[in-house]
Amino acid sequence: MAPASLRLSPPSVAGRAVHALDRRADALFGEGSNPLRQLGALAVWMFWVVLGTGAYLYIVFDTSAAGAYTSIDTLSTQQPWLGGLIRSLHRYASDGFALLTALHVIREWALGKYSGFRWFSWVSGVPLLWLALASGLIGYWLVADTRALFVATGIGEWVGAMPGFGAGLMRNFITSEAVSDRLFSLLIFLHIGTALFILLGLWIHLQRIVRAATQPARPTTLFAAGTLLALCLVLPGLSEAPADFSRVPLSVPIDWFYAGIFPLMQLISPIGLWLVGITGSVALLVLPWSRRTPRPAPAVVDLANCNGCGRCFDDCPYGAVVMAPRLDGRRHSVQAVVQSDLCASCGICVGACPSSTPFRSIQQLVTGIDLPDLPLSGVRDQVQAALLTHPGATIVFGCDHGADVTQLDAPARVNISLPCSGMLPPSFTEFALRHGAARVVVASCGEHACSYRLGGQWTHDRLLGLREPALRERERGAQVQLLHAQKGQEAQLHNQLIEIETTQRASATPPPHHV
Amino acid sequence: MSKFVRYPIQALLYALFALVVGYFSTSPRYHLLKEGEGLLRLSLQHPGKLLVECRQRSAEELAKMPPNMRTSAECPRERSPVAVRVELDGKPIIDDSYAPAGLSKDGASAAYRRMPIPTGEHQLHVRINDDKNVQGYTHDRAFALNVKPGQIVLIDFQPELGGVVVR
Repeated sequence: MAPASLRLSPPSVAGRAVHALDRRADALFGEGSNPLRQLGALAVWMFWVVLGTGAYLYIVFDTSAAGAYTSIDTLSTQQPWLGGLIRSLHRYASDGFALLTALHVIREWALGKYSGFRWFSWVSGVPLLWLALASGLIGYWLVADTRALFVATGIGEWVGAMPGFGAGLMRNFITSEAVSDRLFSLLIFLHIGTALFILLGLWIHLQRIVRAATQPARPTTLFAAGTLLALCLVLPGLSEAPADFSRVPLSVPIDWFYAGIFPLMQLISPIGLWLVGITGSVALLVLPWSRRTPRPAPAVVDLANCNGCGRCFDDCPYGAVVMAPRLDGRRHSVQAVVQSDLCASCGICVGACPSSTPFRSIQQLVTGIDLPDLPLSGVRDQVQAALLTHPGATIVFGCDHGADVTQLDAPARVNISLPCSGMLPPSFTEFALRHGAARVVVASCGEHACSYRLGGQWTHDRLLGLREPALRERERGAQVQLLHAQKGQEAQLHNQLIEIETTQRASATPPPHHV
Repeated sequence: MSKFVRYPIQALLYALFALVVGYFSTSPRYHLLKEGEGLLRLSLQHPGKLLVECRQRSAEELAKMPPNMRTSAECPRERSPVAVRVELDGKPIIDDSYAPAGLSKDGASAAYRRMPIPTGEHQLHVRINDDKNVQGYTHDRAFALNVKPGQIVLIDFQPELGGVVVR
């Protein structure tokens, strides 16, 4: 049966690779603890570790040119189990932050999560990359060892190549006499300042994300903390020899996560590195507008059917629905208003609306909030029409971003794909059963694998009666099944469906709602 | 998959993550110089001479000017670029001119160059011209060097120390 939903462009090769990796990692870690699904949250967690350990280091750091090196080096030599450990955590958490941030960017790009309504989150993340680089590099400078001198020289040569700074910048740290106490005061100010700007930038980055997952799942956090701690114990972060302005070490053990730009600079010149950095940033900034895929129409509110209950406001994963004072003079104090620019057209608000019940006696089903491209009345009509021709069929509600249910054609089976399983009001399952369906299967992407973040969780909670609108308790049974199936898992879903159908037929119990 | 299999594999993958972080945090070592090399650096910041000397304005010129701007001397601010030529064992390794900073070209000229040089004994000849109106060079100094591996030879210009210095 043809799906009612809008079809999406197929995922790219990179997207398919990410989906395949996710499925393997889900099997290993469990969907909720899969670190690949929590790269952003893990990066934020690493950043908190950096901030926490940085607070201690700031207390003990000597901002004089003569004392900076010793104040950090003695942490490792005189208090390895406290200061040394904290210092190592600071270093490796900042490295982990850099690596996880890079993986987070690559993953979101591969999954195509950078355009349309997501442009703001993508664009606001770009300055964070520069801030992270600046904060990390300045942090290495503070240690005042040979690695610091390498970083200082690299920064001086790089920034000095910019018009307005000039070659004179290098003179501030080319000899020991030129390095003053004020330089280290300035550096610590810049180091902490950029870190605080990262915090501000993260807040902006998450502005259009409701219930942003900034904390990884508990098992993931425990594993990450254990890993970080083990790394610090096995390979503690240590200072190199004190900076010597009269000598260059033949080789330096640089931190490639941050200082890796300087070997590149040696190859392509400081101006070349600026060109790479600026071109790369501009490319990232314009990427959201590089795709010509038309955006589906945003959800619309029908005031005659909106009682201002706020469930769509509660459930929208992107804050696209707000409650505003009523404009139509009805007795309800507020009404839902859709901010079109923020709307993902996922339909989760439709599934949340109490007026989205297909049992309403009105001729044309009109709900309080609906998708113009896929109105709920169309879904109801599709269910009714399908059951007229296929009485006793299995109705499968799938998700456009999950396993493609349109590939699961089988006798006595009706497949309907929605933009998100969260669009399905729970009462639709009951409606289908009363109109002759033998059973209803909702194939969701999973509670932690939803392309629209919260659709899988809301679907689960609504069908289990944990969240309004909830499926009535007496309807929860063998006739309504919730399965998890992601893109690429069509075969597994098909097998699960066959198993369900076979088992229920064998039990020979007539469906209770068969009419 | 049993948890007795899953947990060790999970631990292994987290350890792999730690290995990547730990390794690239310090490795591979970046080689700044080859064996048997030192580093020559030129770093100077020096204002060139004013290109044009002050001249006295005539009474007619002053009369044409607004009353609040009638200063008797006209002193253009533009400075000369600073030309630097460095020869190592008779071979020129730097021969460049550095423009004065500022929109009015009235600031100091700044130069920064860096290049590896072989260790051992060398003759270094540094010549600087900070006055475009003078033919040839205004500062000229030669140095005998014995460069050790990793040593930085810094060429600077310090007028109070007699001009070109090597540190």
